[in-house]
Amino acid sequence: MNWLDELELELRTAGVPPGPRRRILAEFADHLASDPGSEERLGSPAELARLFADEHATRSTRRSVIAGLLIVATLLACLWIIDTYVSTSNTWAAISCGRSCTPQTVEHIRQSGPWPERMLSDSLWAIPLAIAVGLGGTASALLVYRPSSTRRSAA
Amino acid sequence: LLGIVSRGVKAEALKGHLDPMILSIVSGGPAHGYAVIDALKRRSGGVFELPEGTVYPALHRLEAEGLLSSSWETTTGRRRRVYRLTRSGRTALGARRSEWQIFARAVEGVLA
Repeated sequence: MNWLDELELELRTAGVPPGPRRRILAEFADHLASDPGSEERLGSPAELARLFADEHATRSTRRSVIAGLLIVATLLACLWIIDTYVSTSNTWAAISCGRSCTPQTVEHIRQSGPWPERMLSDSLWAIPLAIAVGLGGTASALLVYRPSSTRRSAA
Repeated sequence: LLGIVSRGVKAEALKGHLDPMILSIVSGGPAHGYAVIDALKRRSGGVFELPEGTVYPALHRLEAEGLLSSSWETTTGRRRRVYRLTRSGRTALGARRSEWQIFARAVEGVLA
């Protein structure tokens, strides 16, 4: 087993994903082609694999945190849209959202005009908006979280 | 054993300084990993006893931080990952150079 094979095995064992692993091996193969016999100076494959794995884990953790925050922000945005444009426009939605049917709520609904039409127009507008925000947020989170192997830099 | 200890101490002393040195080398123009290591050896007079392979994780880290960008290029029939300094990298390098000058002057003042 040569130095590159050993590095590949160590990278696999350390849990470095296939995309980054291919890139790392290609870079070291180029290095060894430029400077034949430099294996010893490059260092221990196990130690190098550990460094790459640590680096990859740090990036994954950072991406997971950002993706998690994006999902939470998306959920909050969807809830806000539904709460603002749907639940206040009719009694049933208000009750279903856990609101008590206070005189103020009833008055608000009465003042908001003929509620079936209002509910219909607001709901028609709000639900696609909530879906669009939800899809947009989820897509952004997936883009942030997508594995390094699918990133252009790892190509 | 003495050799191992000596290498460990020198590698330890380099901690925190490798990144700006790499940025400085790449600031001179696009470079692939082997060229960075070669320049590091040449410009330091071969003083650093760092396992050469550790430069690659540092290059990947600097790229992940947005200080370097990289792409595959084919030169003389060989596919190479070439690194370039980004705008953020240039700013970071300027900041690290200033920090280093202040630090080096202070240490020099104490040791002299």
